Amino acid sequence: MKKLLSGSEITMSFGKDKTTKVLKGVDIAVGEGEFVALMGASGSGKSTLLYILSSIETADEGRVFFDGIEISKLNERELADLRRKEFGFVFQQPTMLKNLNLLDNIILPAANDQRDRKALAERALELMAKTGLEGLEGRGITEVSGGQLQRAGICRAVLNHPKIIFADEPTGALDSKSGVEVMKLMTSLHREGIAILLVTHDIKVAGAAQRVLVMKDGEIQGEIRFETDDIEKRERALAELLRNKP
Amino acid sequence: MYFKLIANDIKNSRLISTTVVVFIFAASMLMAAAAGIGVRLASSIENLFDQAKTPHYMQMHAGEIDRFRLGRFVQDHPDIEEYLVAEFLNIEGTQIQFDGRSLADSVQDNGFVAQNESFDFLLDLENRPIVALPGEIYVPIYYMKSLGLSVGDKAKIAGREFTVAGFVRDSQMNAGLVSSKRFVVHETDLQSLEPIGIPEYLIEFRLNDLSQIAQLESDYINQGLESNGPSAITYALFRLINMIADAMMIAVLAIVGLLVILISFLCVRFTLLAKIEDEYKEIGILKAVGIPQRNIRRIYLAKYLFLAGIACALGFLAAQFLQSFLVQNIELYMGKSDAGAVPELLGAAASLVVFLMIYAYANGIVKGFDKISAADALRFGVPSEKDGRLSKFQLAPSSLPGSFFLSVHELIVSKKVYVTMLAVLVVCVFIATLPADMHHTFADRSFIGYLGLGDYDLRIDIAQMDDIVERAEKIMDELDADSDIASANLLISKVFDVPLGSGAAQKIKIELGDHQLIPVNYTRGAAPTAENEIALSELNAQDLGKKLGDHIGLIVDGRYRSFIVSGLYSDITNGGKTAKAAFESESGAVLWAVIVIRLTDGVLPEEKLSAYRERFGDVKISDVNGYVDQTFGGTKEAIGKVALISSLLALVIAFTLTLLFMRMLYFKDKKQIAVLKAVGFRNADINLQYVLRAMIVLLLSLLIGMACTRTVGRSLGTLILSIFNISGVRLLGSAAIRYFIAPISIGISVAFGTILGVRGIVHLKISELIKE
Ligand SMILES: Nc1ncnc2c1ncn2[C@@H]1O[C@H](COP(=O)(O)OP(=O)(O)OP(=O)(O)O)[C@@H](O)[C@H]1O
Ligand SMILES: [Mg+2]
Repeated sequence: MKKLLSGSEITMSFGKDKTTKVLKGVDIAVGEGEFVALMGASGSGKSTLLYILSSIETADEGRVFFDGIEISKLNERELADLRRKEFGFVFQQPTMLKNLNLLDNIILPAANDQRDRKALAERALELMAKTGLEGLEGRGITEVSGGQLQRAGICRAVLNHPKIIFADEPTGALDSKSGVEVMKLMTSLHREGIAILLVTHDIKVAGAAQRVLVMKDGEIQGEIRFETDDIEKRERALAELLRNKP
Repeated sequence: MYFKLIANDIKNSRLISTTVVVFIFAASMLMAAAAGIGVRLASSIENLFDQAKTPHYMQMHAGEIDRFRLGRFVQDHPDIEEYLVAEFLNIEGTQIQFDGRSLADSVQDNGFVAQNESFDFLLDLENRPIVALPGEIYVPIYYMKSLGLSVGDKAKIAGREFTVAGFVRDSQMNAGLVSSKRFVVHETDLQSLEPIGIPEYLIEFRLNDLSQIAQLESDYINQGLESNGPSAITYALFRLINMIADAMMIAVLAIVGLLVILISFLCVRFTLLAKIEDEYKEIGILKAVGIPQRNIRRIYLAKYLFLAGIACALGFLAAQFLQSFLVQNIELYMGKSDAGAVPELLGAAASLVVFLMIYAYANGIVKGFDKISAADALRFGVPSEKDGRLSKFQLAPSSLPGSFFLSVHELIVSKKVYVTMLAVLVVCVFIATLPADMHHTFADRSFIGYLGLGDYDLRIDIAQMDDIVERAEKIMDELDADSDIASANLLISKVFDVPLGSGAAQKIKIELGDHQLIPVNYTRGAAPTAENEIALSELNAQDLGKKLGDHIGLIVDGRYRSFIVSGLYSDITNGGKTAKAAFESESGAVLWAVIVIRLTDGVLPEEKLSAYRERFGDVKISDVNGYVDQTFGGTKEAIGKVALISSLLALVIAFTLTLLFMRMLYFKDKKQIAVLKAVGFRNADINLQYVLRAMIVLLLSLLIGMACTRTVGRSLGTLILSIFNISGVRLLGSAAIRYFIAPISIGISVAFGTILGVRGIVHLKISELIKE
């Protein structure tokens, strides 16, 4: 599998004088079209790593490559273009513009593109139909459920045909039924060839991935690549891994 | 009990809290100072008028006085408590010198007087009536300030030595606006100066009953008593003239204070909205656990009550310092006030009003918390601006570029927020253009239209000599031979009587001659051509109660003759009351003559001016600009200064307000900006949105501001000009200023303010706002 995204020797500290080391030299890679899940205890540095890899945060040290380009060498405009064209984001909390309706929020990333607005809206409506949101395009973001909003977020993330989606606990704020729907969606995106890097605490969610990395205290301490398609076996193996290296 | 909460809150938002405090402080200070100074001013004037026993009615007169007739007039009016005729010896500025500097450039009429005996006392700086000894001179405060004189300085009046023994606080002629000034000398010195001056007289009355002033005025005029001079001045007018400059300062303080209150409102609004945005969830939780609305409101209000309370109190204290500085001028010209604690009390009341306004406003905003539903807050963590109702204006169906759409959309959704900015910018446009328009009106060539003389190049004024008419005719003969002159027109002004019903008569000054050669602009009707026609200035027509086509009777050569009003025109010279006619008359005192000259094309007025000045040394020759400068130069300059200062003020306000406004918007919008960045908007795209919004608001405010200047501004401008004794002038706008300089400079201020205000966008970290 060809490498799509990779980070090497990533370190990151916070606090006054950068005293709290949050990432201690992490090496990580995601292949083209690969579905990778990140697990680990709260505070172990998962979100921080995800943001660094997705250019939303800058690491203290280490290098991040996307598609052969070192992203720390890009300027602000190039980074913005990269985020718009190649990346998709799904966050735990809905991150939408509060005064726009769902449809407008979904087409937002392409708002400044020189694209036919009609075709764009059609694509968005298609995506909404696929994610079970038909008829909701005119609603405000407080007029739909949390699960529906999260699915709309996924529609927005894939609008520009990204190569990779970054998701930080996309099911964290949802009930289990909505969570399942969101994960079905993720799986189908993966089947379409989009790579996914997803942070989660949920074994069931991580079970949908091809590979799971486990973080502890700013380091990747464990890894598992699923050989089987059997969900139950996957979950058992994962539980095993977490029990050994929590 | 809230103290810890408040302290924490303030610590966490130091910048915003400081801003709020600074603005409320400034508002409180300005309002308290305006109130305090207002009281002091009124009290000082009252005090001065009491000490000086200012006349209730005063008429200046140049020429003989029939004292017997005046005495009879007084006897017929038992309401007159006292009267006097004071000599005012008008001495040329060139003859008055202090340390070698003469008053030649002074626009003032400088008169020498002796102290009055019964009233209209000229006071020293301690408000005591001046007693001048021989050889001593007391100088008007106006010159003390402008020449920097002090006691003991030497003065030379027409070659005679005097010592400056003190300064004159003159309840009538203190103000720079008044065009006469009085110097006080000893009786004998006044007599010895008589040969070099022109004596004029101040005829003054004091009444037992102030309500009788109007009656006295009309009787005085109707009985045709001495009145060869500017219109009479009444007690109320003296008061107004003394106050006007300082009253304007107070008005400016109050207006700026109101603006600052508006800005404080903005601050409070934004900080509170940002707070709601930030703590939406917390508010929801407080509600969910059953804390009453009132208590929640109180938590958020407490901080503002605390900050506003401190700021208002400090502002009040600072106002006391500001006042002591600003009242220096008032105290110099009008003396100390004896209002006791009233200025402080009223100032405190003003500060309290500011506090209550802020409180009421903040309370209104916090009431909005009531609408937050606990469920929504917990579920979404972000408030929706309008209870979930979305605007009809949507991105998907439109074909506008994204940034432009988002800018306009935000304006529509958050109208209320931007209306405040709009209002302030409208005020800025208004104060930037109105004084400039007024100034422009004076500078424009069409201003000659108000000088009552038609469109001329040069004028020759012949006055103050025994043989005015002969001299004028001799000059005319010489001008006829000059080929550089296209036309020259001699107009002779005489005074005639207009008989009134009661047997009394009113004086009217009429300019006789050919009024078709170089015609003025007639607002209605046409120039008088026939022997029985007369044209009146607008003000004169108003005064006499005549309209176009009306009849008016005059005594000409001892006979009653009837005239028809053939035309009306604007004239702001000679108090605005003039008339023109074409008849011939042997009688009537000649006041002055003027020759109006139009040059042939290509002849430079400046060259002709100096040539004629050499040739006709004894008369006054001026070109249009020179005449306007001499007559209205002071006013023009004063208005020019006002225009400059207010334009700069407008720019400063536009800049600071926009900066502040955008900074607050930025804080409020941080989360939304992070979302835009995360989905791939460039910093430049987001910056552009704010600039676009600012520009749209600016454009609207330019349109509204200019419409205001054209409508309200016109009447306001005319009103202000009438304070300077110039009536009937229609305000002209300078296209360059209105449509070019003002919009561009305000635009630049707004653009800079915006860019600086939202400069945080570049550094905004997406991760900090999206994580958690
Ligand atoms: N901006 C910040 N300033 C200071 N410390 C931070 C900041 N962001 C993260 N941290 C700290 O870095 C550590 C890692 O945070 P991170 O959000 O990456 O953890 P996580 O693994 O995603 O945890 P969770 O599962 O709870 O989301 C934590 O201890 C956190 O307190
Ligand atoms: Mg996390």
